[in-house]
Amino acid sequence: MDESSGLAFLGILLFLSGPIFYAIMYNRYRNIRERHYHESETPVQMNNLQVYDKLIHRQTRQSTNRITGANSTRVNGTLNPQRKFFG
Amino acid sequence: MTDEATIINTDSGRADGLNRCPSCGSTDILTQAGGRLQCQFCRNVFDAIAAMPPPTTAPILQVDEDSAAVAPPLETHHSGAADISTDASAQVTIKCQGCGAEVVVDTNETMTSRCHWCRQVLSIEHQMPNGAVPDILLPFYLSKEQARASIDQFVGQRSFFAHKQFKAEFTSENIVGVYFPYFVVDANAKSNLSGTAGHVVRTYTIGSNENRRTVYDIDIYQIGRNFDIEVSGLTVEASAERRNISNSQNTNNIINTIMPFDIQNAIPYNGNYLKGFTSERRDTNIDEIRNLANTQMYDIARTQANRTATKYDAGIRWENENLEATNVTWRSAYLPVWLYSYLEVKNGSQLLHYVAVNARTGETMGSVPIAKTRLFLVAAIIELIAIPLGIMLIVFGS
Repeated sequence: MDESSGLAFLGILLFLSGPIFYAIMYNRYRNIRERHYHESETPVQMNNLQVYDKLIHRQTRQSTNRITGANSTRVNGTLNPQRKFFG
Repeated sequence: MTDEATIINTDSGRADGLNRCPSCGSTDILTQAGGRLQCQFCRNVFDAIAAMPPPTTAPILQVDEDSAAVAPPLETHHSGAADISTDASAQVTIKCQGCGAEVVVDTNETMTSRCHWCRQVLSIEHQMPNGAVPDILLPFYLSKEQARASIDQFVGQRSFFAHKQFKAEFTSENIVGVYFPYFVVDANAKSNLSGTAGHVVRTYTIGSNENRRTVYDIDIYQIGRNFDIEVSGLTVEASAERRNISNSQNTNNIINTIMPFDIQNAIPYNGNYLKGFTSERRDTNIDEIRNLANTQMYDIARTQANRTATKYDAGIRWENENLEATNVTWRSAYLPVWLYSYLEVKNGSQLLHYVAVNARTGETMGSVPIAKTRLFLVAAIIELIAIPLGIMLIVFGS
């Protein structure tokens, strides 16, 4: 990101500062997104790890730095339903 | 309950009724800060484990009649986690061993009661098919004063935008200690994941003037992870009401958030630890949450696999995930929570807010009613100040 586009991005961010402040404060008071992080907070021991990593090819000049369909951070076992941010 | 389950009997063998101080025989016993019991009559401090007979832990193994061989214990259920009988009542009548009076205890809310004739405290000790007596519990470690301090601090840090009526009515004096019911799952499993991962090897800019843009070269890998995992103390709510997390109707996620508990320090159930606290009866069977626990096991396995693949900064797309549990143990538990609740009534609708403290770790979480008009006005003022600055930056940037 060059300097001019960085300034423009900052400007847009300032345009949204009111709603962003509202959302941050709302979540700080109501904590509607908080939950038990069972996937990382449950004691677990890993044994007998076998690793397989094989380079397939190189994709060049990609417009994004993420691969399509990345899902490693997905969590399915949460009790929290999908919901509106403001409840 | 699965046919293959091995049952381990954890019933204490004690009869319902008087559970006395080992020193003086009084039944006026309360949990003190730190999780130990103290007789309110002779001040003797003791642990129930030393005062009670050890639970029967010998497994009742099922025998495969065809081969006459012992079947491998794929799944083990401790007896306190047994299915709830449909005709089991929550009301239990205890005969007081002190005076012979009959005392009714509503196990939906409490597991102890004082005899209305001789004033001795009676407690429910033996397991019954209504889900009220679990296998294990964690005693309250934090005192009420410590929990009040945590709740006061939590709410105090959120007072500016708190609802006016809430601020006027808030007092942590009436917080209650509650034993909530949970299932505790220990499991060994073999996990196998495979997929595609990316690693950014070069970031650079192409084009000129208006077509200038940043692009990335990404190495694409085929990856796989095979491993065994031992999960200890996966904890799932055993109350249907607590699992019902609906943001518009309740704040049950607050109680969910204060997990985990230090399950490794749990002790066999003893009614003395429930004296002075309320409790919520388990209303869920293992089969009702088996899928949820299984899904959470997959989440745990995926998180473990991710930790072995931190090199892939362009992300991982797991395409195949398999988890084969080799040994699963289910226990029921009472876990301690200090709870403040506040009912917000607005425009005919009600929302019950909780501030909860994990009575073992002290982790505190809560939901505080908001003065939305005030918050909106402050956000609007910030917006009005920020808009001219934003215009200036966009003009400078173009």
